[in-house]
This record gives sequence, C-alpha cells and structure tokens, in this order.
Amino acid sequence: MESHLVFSDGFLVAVLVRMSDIHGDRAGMWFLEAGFGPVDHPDPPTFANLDEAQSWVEWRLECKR
Amino acid sequence: MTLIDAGIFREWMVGLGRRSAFEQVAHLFCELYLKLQSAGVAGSCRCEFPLTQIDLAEALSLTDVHVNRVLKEMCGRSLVTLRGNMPVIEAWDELLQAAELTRRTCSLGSEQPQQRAVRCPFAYSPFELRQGVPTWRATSSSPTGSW
Repeated sequence: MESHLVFSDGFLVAVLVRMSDIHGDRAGMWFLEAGFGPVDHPDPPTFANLDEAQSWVEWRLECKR
Repeated sequence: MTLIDAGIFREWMVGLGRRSAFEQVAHLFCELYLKLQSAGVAGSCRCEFPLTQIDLAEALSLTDVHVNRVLKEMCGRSLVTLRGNMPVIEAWDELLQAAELTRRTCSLGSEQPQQRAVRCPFAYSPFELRQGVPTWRATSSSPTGSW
C-alpha cells in the first residue's frame, strides 16, 4: 500500500494513502487516511493526485490558523 | 429503559469505542441477522440489507473507504458473500467469533426470544425496521448507492 506522511513546519499533519484496486473507480486516488489538528475532517476527502491533496492540506492549515 | 435496552446501548458504545472496524461490521451483520431471523423475516444466513457502504460507515463511525476494505476482507476470507444487496453469511461461527457477540447478548437465549428480540433490536441503533427490512434511520442521507 503506497502512502505518504505529510509534514508542515516539522509536524505530522496528515497521512495519505493511495487507494488500491479493491476501491473500483476510485482506485489510484489518494485518500486522507488520517488528518491531525486542523487537517482532521469528519468526512475525509479523496484526491485525484498529490498536488490536489497538498493544496487541500495547505488550505485547511491556512483557514484554521 | 429496560435492562435489555441498556445492554444494547452499551454494546453500541463499546463497539464504537473499542472494537476494530472488522469487529464492528461483523457485529452489525450478526446482530441484524439474528434479530431479523427472530422476527421471521430472514433465514438461511441471508437477509435483505439495502444499505450502502456510506450508510454503514456513518453508523459505525468509520470511513466508507475503510468499510470497503473490511467488506473485501470478509469476502476474501469467505465469511460473507454479497449477492446484489443481500449479504450471505457463509461462516456463521467465525463471524460470530469476530463480532464477540453471544446469543445471550442478543436475548435469543431467553425463554421468549421472539418477543424480546423483535421489540428491542433497532431502538438504539441507527437503523429501524420497515416492513421487515432494516432501514437507515438518518434523514440526512438515504441509501442510494450499492455495494
């Protein structure tokens, strides 16, 4: 399972996981497996690519600052 | 609230707080099946279950992505198979073990199983029984997708 840890200013803020083939038409997308602090979300989103995920994480950090 | 009601309420709290996702889904399947069976609307380890993965996720405080993983694992281990919207429990004992569910918990070991089980099953769960079919109680979403 491919995954990424996302850091901001040295702090872990998110874990992104690439969705495998078992997820059907969402396979290959990135899922917010866990978000911490302002990045936590009750309905974790999925992203088409890592750039989109990074933008969303940055937006969450910015708007909750 | 009776002692049985309180027992069911506690089971749900324990499930949400302490059970793994796999155990929670197994518990839900077993609980629903036992109660539908005692109500006479399910049998042969299968029951109507027109709920989406999103509904299951919301009911169990999981993500739909993770519910999908759990269901795939259950199917992979041949515990459950899906025929359309109808889950079929293929390995009842194993699923019951995963759910840590006893017949006593379900009030089915009592002298009046039907009366008790029919009365209490959905009182504190996010589902209600409509015409013998477990139906998502929440009004914010409705089961529109499929498994």
